[in-house]
Amino acid sequence: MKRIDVAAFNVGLFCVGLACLAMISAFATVDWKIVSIVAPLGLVVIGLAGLLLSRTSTKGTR
Amino acid sequence: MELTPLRRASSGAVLGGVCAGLARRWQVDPTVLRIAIVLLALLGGLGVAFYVGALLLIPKDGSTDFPLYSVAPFTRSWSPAAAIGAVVGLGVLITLAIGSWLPFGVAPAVGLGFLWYFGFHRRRQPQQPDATGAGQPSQLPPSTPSPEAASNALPRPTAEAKSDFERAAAAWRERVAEERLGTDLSPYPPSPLNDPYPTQQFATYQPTPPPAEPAVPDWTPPARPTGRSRGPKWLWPLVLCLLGGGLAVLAVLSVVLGVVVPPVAYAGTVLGALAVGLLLAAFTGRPRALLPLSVIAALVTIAMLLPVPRVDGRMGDETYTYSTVAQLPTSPQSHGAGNVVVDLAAVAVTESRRVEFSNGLGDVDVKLPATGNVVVEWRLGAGQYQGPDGERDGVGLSGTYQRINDPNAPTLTVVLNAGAGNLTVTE
Repeated sequence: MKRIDVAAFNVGLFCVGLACLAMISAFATVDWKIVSIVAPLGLVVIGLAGLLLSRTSTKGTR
Repeated sequence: MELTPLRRASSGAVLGGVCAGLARRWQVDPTVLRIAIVLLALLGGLGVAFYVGALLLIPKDGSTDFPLYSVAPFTRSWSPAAAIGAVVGLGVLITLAIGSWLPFGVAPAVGLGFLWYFGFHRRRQPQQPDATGAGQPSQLPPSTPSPEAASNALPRPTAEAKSDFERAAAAWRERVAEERLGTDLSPYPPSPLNDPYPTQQFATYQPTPPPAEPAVPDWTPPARPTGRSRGPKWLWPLVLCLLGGGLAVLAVLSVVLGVVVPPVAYAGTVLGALAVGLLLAAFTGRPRALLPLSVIAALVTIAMLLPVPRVDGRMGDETYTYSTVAQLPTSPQSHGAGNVVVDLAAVAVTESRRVEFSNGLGDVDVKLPATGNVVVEWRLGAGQYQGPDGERDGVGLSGTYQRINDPNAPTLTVVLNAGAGNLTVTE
C-alpha cells in the first residue's frame, strides 16, 4: 500500500472543518452549543483516522 | 541543525533559562534581562511572545535541535525556515491576543527599539573589533616576512571563535600562515658565518620549488534527509487556483452583489484552499511549506473566530445615573474594563433619543426606565445575556428587546456593546 502522509491528512481534515466553521460564522449564525459537541467528536474521528492510516500505510513499508 | 550558538542555560534558570542564556551570551546581569522581558510583556505582550518564541527556538545546553521539534513532533520534518516562520506567526498571534488586554500598545516598544538601535547599538558598532578576523585577508602574512613579523601575523582566533565553522576557518588560516612562513624562510642559504665557502655555496644553490598548497580538507555539508517526496508539481498551482477562485467569488459577492463579507470569510477561504491541498498532498506527496502555511492560516482563522474584546476607554467600575432625557449623553460612552451600571430607571421618556454604551471587559448592568417605550439593541462578544426576554450565553451574541407601550409615544433606544462578560437588562 502506498504510504500516506498522515500528518498532512489529519491537519487537512482539521483545516477543512475549521474553514467550514469560518464560512458559516461569516454568512450565518453559528450555534456554539452544537459546535461544542461536534468539535471534540470531530477531533476524535480525525485522530482515529490518523491512527488507522498510520497502521495500514506503514505495514507495506516496514 | 545548529543555527545559533545561543543556548538556554540549565543552571540559574528561573523559568526556561532564556534570560540566563542570553545574559551568559551577552555577559550582562540576567536580572536586567528579566526586568526587560517583563516590561516588554506589558508593552503589547511583546515580552511574552519573545519568551515563547525563544523557548521554542533556542536549544538547551547540550542540545542543537529546536525545542519546537520535541514539543511538537510533527514539525520535525519542517525546514528551519518553516519552523521559524511558524513560531513568528505564533508570536504575532500572542501579541494580538494579549496586546488587546493590556493598556499599553506596541508603539512604546518600537520607539525604544529605534532609540536603542540608532542611539546606542549603531554608534557602538565601529568600535567593535572583528574578533575572529574573518573577512580580513590583510592579516595573512606577506610572502617574505621576517620571522617576528610572520609570527606576529599568525591569527590567534581560537579563543574568540564562536561557532564550529569560525573555529575551523581560523585554524585553517593559521595553518596557511604557518605554511607560508616555512616556505618563505626555507630557501635562505645557511649563514656565511658557519660556511667556509660561502661563494661556492651561493653558486650551487638551487632554490627548491615551493611546496604545493596544502590540500583543502574534504568536507561536504550534511545532506538533508530526503525521506519524503516533495509532491507533484501541479499541487501548488492547484492550491493557488482554488485560493484565487475562492477570493474572486467573495469579491464578486461583496462588490457586485453587495453582500457584506466579513474578514473571517477570506481567512476561511484561504484555509479551505490550503486544506484541500493538504488532503491531496497526503496521497501524492507534500510540497514544501504547505503544512506550516496551513497551520498558520488555521491559527489566524481561530483568532478571527474568537471575539477579542477591545479595551479602550476608562478602567474600573463605573456607574452612569440619569434622571431626565436631557441628561442622557449625546455621544457614545466607551468604557475599557470593569463593571458598568447604567441606571435609567428614573428617566421619563419625553422625547425620542438614542444612547450608546460600550464596555470591553466586564459586566454591564442596565436598568431601563420604568415607563415609556424602550428599545434595547445589544451585542455581546462572549458571555451571558440576561434580559426581560430571556437568557442566552455563548459567543458572538446579539439581539433586540422592545417594550413598546404606545406606538405614538417617544422611544428611547439604548445600544449596548459588551466585549466579554455578563450583560444584564432589567426593568
